[in-house]
Amino acid sequence: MTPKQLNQLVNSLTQQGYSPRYIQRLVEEIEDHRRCIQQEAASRITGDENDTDISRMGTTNELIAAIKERHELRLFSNRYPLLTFAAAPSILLLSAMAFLIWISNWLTDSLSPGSELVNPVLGTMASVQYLFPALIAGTAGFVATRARVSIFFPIVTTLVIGGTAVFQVDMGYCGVSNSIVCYQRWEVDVLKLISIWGALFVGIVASGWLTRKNNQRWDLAN
Amino acid sequence: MAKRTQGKEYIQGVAELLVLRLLQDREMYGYEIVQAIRLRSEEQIQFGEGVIYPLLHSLQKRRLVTIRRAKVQGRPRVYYRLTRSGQKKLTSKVSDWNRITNAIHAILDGQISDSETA
Repeated sequence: MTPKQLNQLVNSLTQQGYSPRYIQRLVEEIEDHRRCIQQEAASRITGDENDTDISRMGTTNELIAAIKERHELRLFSNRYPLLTFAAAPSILLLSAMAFLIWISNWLTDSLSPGSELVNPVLGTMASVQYLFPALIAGTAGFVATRARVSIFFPIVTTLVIGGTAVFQVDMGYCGVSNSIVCYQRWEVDVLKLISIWGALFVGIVASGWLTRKNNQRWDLAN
Repeated sequence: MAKRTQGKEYIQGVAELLVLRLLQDREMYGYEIVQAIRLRSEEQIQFGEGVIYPLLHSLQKRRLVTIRRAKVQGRPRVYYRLTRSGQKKLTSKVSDWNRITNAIHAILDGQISDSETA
């Protein structure tokens, strides 16, 4: 495999979303293999390390095909983007809401026994309306992994959209961000704003973490 | 019920079987494994040598092998070693292989089953 073919391999795998560390490791092993072939030839025939048949390594296309056949070598979020960026933020948000309701009920009951408590199931079901902001963050995370940009992309995008939406709500008008995050129907309400921020925060955490996991170098070392 | 094997999976399975068997004896690196396959098969089994690496990475991802990194002559090298799960997988694959080859031999040798003679 020539240096030109190696470059083709690196470019192709990069475009297909394999992690830089995985590609680096593959290249190192192939380079070691190539040197071994050269040394084998040098000790056996002419003494010239360059006089050998590197084509034994196979073509770039053969290697890429072999990698693609191994589905497990792709990153989880590349294999299951919907599960990663839609389901994960949603599940995390609902779990967080359920947990907060449980904590709130426990605190309320401890401080003033006999108070009316929130039904955990109904409370969690009502939290479904906050999925939308969380999914915005998830979508930003998905775009970040496809564009292979930094983890800061979903964070900044979501903060800008969320921040602008809250500002618009606070100012009492329905702007674009408010429409995206709040569907223009939520009232100006501090608790609502906290809910919006909470949902955005959960989405940011989920998508940011998943983006980082996706973009980070895949460490195969045990 | 007899297990069914798909074409591509079958070929991949054979390659995995050979690699796992070689690593049962000792830890090896990619080039060594390819050479061992060539020599032990008397050069009957040959392939684009680079494709050994996706196979090895896949085995590692499935925790059938583990790795040790080393520097040899100033360049990085990765040695592969069989894990306990890999040993179990090898035993299972050898058993499957024997079952299939026995079935193929039975057909090639012209054995006729009782149901056909009845």
